[in-house]
Amino acid sequence: MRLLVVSLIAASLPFAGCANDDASTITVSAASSLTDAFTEIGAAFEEQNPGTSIRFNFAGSSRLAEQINSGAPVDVFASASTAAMQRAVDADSVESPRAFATNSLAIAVPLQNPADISDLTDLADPAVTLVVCDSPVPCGAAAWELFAKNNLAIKPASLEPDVRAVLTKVVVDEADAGIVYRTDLNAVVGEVKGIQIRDEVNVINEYPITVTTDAKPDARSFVEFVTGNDGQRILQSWGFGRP
Amino acid sequence: MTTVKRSVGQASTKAPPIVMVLAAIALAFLIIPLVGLFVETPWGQLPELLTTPTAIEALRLSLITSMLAAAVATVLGVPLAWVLARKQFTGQRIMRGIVLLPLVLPPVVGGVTLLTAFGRRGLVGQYLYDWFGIQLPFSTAGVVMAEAFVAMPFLVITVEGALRSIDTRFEQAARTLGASPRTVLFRVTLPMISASLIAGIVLAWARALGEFGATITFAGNFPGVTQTLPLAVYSALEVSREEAIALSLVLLAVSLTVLVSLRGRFLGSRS
Amino acid sequence: MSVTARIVTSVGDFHLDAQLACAPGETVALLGPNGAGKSMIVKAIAGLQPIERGCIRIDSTPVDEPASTTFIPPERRRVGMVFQDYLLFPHMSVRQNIEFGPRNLKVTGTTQPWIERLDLTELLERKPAQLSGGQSQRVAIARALATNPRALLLDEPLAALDAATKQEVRGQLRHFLTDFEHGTILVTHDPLDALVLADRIVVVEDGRVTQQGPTAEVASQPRTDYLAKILGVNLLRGDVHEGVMTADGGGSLVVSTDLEGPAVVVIRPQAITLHANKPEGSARNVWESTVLGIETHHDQVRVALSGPPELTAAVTHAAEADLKLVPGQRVWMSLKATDTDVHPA
Repeated sequence: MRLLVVSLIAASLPFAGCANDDASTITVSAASSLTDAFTEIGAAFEEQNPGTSIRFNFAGSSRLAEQINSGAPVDVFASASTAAMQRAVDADSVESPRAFATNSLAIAVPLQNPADISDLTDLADPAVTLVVCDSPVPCGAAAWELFAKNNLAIKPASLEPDVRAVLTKVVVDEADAGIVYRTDLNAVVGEVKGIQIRDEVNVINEYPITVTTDAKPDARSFVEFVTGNDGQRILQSWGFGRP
Repeated sequence: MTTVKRSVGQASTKAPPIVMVLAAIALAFLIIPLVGLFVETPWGQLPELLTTPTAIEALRLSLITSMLAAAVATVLGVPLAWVLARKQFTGQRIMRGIVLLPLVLPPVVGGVTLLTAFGRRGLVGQYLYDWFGIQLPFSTAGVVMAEAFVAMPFLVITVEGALRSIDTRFEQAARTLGASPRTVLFRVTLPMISASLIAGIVLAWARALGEFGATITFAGNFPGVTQTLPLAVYSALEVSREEAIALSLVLLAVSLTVLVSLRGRFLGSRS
Repeated sequence: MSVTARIVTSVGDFHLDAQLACAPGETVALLGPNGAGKSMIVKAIAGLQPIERGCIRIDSTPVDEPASTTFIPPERRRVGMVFQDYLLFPHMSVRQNIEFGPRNLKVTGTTQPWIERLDLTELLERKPAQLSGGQSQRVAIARALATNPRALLLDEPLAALDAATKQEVRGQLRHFLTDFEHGTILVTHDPLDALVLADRIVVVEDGRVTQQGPTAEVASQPRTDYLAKILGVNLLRGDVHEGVMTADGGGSLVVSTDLEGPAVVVIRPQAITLHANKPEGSARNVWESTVLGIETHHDQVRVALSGPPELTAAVTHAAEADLKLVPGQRVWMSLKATDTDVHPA
């Protein structure tokens, strides 16, 4: 009986998540719009730093900030907006952030473009089924800023938890249009049609990155990699702007 | 000599200590999260958190859609349960498996399958959209569909079990007394399973109330239209833990009330 | 109302092929062992078991005739049925149970007479769970008759009662059926029910009718082993030639008859006397036998004797004591030829 209990405990040990896993894994929480770019950056970093592995956690930046503030064991935080990052800064969960990329918005429509969207103003038509991110998410906040800036009264059909969810609704042709990042269009080439928004009327999002206050020492080197030449080259290849 | 304490009345069964220990751990496993929720609840702010337009809207929508979903599940599920319980046909086991699928399917997967069927490019949905301009996703009707989808198996299982357990000879007796099959159903069969039927409906309603994955995937998320209470909790998590906890408390209170009122009836099919 | 039925049907491996008739005012008992198909017959008449071939007519109207694809569903046959477990609707009161039929058939004024005739006035607001066996039976009968049916079918009406109640209720039922103006078909495995309640007996064994006729006749002249056994008589089959019956199972008896050829002989156990030594007397069947078994009943002792032919004798307790009967003991048995009943087979 005692043997049973001891063996049960021993068997569960490998599954118990310890605060510091093994010294050579860096956990990165990044905005979902960074999915493709950061996955490539992660692979490149691991190649250059054998023995270190990167673990990613992609989601809406506001949710990621909340998770970090609740004590999630994350080493690096890359946010899609300064507002979301500020939440973590205010809670003293992260160190001073610095900008590493910019992004602007674009319209994604299904390949057939059923609602015949050609311009931002077309989205104001009530018959158009538009999806955007939920307001606290950077992509959503930027979308509302975009509408305000262009004096458009818009009622979306749904507020998705992150920009990838918006994209999915457009890819399966359930929505007539979705507000996504310019960089997202590169990730789904051939699955959606992209409509660019001119820079003058667009909203620019600045992406900050930083380490958490209880990060592993290695984490800093990942941040350096992202802001360094290798990281920047990869980011720009995916369509991100310079910081 | 050790004296053994006698218990007057029922003979008590002596359980091996390990059973009690594991039972205590199981109970703790279930209770501690609830305690955690209670401890973290911002009791002082509760009134204002629960009276925001978002909260009221979400609660109202949740109650309406869950009741409609339960109604749909009942109207469609009772006949289905009847066919499964009373008729013999090939493929019956497969049919029952399909009916029970939403029980084991991850709700998000359920939402995806609903999209493939009823989305505007879906198998059936495309005709709804092209001919009538009806788009179920992003509508309250879509919410009811998603909730009914996950809730129906609960009703079907409960009612099928009850129908199997009653003696069909009562229905035969009713026929000899001049009752048409319809009369038999409404005056004999259903009244005889009334306790299980009610339990099934309440269970289905509770499940519909708590549904998240299928709703957000199929119907989307918009306050007043598709943002039910569980979706509101999820959204709130992005902004304020306090609001999320307050809304969670409402869901918890409703669910607990439902389960306690059933008093274990859904476990058996006999009243 | 009259019922004529020729029923041919199968359920799984069981084949039923039976023919019977019931005249108005007559009570016919379907008597047979369990699983013989008796219940299936009444269910077919009620419309709960469609037949494959044959024809069932009620008052000369076909209600089930596969050849002409005629099938009248049970709710339109106007046949009242009382089931073995009564099957009173548990969620309804006695009153609601009785009013169930009339309500469906839209007849009025029929419930009160039956409530009074069957003495149910005090029980009306009770639920079935609160009734005794005898009370439940009366409610079941009232419920069936309140619809003014053309016939009454009773499926093992007394089976659910304990021995004491059974006796009393059987008597009440007899009283009731004697005055009952419609035809009644009664299913039972208990020969006593048939003997007490029925005008005619139809014996059903293994899906076939093996004997039928007026009660008295069937009871005194059983033609099948089953019937003989349950009526408690000896039955031998064999060949009769010049007053001697050679039994199929071996052995022979001197019988009193002019018949020749295949025959069935019935011997009442009471007609066989037992003796410690070879008896004197005119009896033509006297031989020594071994006691195979002893069965004690409250009024008699039945002794199974070795053969061939094997026979059962019935003696008083006193006689048993006198002879000191035990299994394995040798005794002399005596049977007069005139005490045998021979029928052509």
